[in-house]
Amino acid sequence: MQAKGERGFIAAMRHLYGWSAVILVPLMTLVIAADTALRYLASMPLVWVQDVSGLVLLLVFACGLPYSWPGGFHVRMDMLYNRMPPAAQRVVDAITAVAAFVIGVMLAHQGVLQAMRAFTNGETTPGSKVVIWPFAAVLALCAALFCVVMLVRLVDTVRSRSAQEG
Amino acid sequence: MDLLTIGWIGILALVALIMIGVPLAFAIGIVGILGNIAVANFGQTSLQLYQVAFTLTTEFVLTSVPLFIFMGQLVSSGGIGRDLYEVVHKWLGRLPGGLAVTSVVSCASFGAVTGVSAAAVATLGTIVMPEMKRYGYSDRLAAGSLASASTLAILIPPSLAMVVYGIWTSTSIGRLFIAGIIPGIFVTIVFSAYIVGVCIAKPELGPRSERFSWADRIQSLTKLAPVLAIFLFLIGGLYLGWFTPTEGAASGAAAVMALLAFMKRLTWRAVVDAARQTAQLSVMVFAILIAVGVFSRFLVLTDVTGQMVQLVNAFGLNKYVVFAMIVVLYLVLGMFLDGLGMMLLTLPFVFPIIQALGFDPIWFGIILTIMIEVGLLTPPVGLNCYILAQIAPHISLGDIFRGVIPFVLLTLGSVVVFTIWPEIVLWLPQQMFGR
Repeated sequence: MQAKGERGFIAAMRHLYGWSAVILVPLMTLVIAADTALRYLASMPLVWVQDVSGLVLLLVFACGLPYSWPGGFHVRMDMLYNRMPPAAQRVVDAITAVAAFVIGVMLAHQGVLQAMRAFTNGETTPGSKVVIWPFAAVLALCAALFCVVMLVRLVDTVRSRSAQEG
Repeated sequence: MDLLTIGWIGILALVALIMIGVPLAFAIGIVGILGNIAVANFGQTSLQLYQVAFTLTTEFVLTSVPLFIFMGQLVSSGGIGRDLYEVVHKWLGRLPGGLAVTSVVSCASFGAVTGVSAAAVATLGTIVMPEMKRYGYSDRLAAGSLASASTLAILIPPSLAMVVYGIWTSTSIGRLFIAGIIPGIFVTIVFSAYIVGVCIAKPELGPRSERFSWADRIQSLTKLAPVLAIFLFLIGGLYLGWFTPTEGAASGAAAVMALLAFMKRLTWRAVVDAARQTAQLSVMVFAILIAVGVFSRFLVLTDVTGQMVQLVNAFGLNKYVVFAMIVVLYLVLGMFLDGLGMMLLTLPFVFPIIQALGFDPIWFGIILTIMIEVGLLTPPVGLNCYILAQIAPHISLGDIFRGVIPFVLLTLGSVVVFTIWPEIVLWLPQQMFGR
């Protein structure tokens, strides 16, 4: 059974995904459409649009990542899985959680290193000179939150096994 | 251990993880990471994972993926599906099996403004299925025609599958879109002809619906205007070079929002739902894209793909035999995997073989899109059949799967036709863009 703190954490991740999507997706749409229209109608392209919309896409992905597992976003071949006994399903769940955790840890770790490097070197996007380190930091932070979610799931899986054996 | 052996072990591990039910992104990602660590080192692999993730999620071209999804979600929430149904019904409803033909043509037209087939079956299913029940249509014909026709949404441009294929294989998305038009119309005509033929032979399967006056029919055409406007704006803009696919997707989505606002059909709830659905699908697609990016490097380092191409050449098989094997592979994978996942998983292996055999990448993109369509219908996964089962609970899932069998066979027959006469696929893009 999920603890109260755990439910609250997952709910926070759901809000992060939900609100970021509602703000960022229409924003990205309108900004690119505005650039296209201004370029043709007024010969006034918005030079920063390509860089910024790319970074917005990164935020959409990063903010959705932590809730992607509890939200059921990921696709799997579930024909065998659905026919497995509960114990075997828990083993697959544990493998999934470990695999996702390893990927998340590596992404978070390298994200921190790259954010620090970008901060130190003052790295910016090539066209519009948007500072990169905050976006690298968001990617690292969201990857870390994803790791926490997967760790919680792993603990849940192991706990439910122990409870059954007990 | 030599690199090639590590490569094959990696592939076997990947197949095993996917088979037991580890989600695609994590299975591909972890094999790619461990494989890269084995042949390179931890530091390089970690850096590469980050670089692939950062590069892919900040790539301007790839913003077209969420934007096309967003456009499709908005269209499906805006009542455009009902408008289409009403127009097509007035024109084609009197044919034998007229309502089923109406659902096929409506789905094809709906595909012209959305690139996600689940949106087509969910939107049109709620309109068409109660009507077919009212007229006493055979459950299998009703469900089979709608579920099958809904897959046309990914063949008729704009198409999310073509966008992802185009980006991954560096093939022109504009050409792919244009190449999908004639095959889309061809399959629509084949489906409609089959329904009319079956209903002439057995009229009780699909009775004709009521007759409408010519004045009614002509007046109804005004409802086609929004769909026509969006389609012509998008395809015309891409063809005339007004915008890139990404700009076209954003402009199309903004145009749909403006159009729905003008028609007083745009609600805050619809925008919120569309945005969330878009983010959800985008996270899934990008997670797989990133994983495949890492895995592809592993394949390059171990030269497994090169060995596969050499192996195929060494057997000296006719290229159409190899192609037939690839089609069978997609038929089988489509039974178990999501369409985009199947495409991203297999392209690193299959695309080099297709290129080495001298097949046209635009043509193959269309064939692959059609195979994804088939995968949306075949059991046990058959996503569109499951969506339809939720919309029409009075029809059993078994009847839905049996109902789609003739349409799956017709679709596979179309693949044979497009293989014998690839000009059907390639003629229009060649006329519009040159060779």
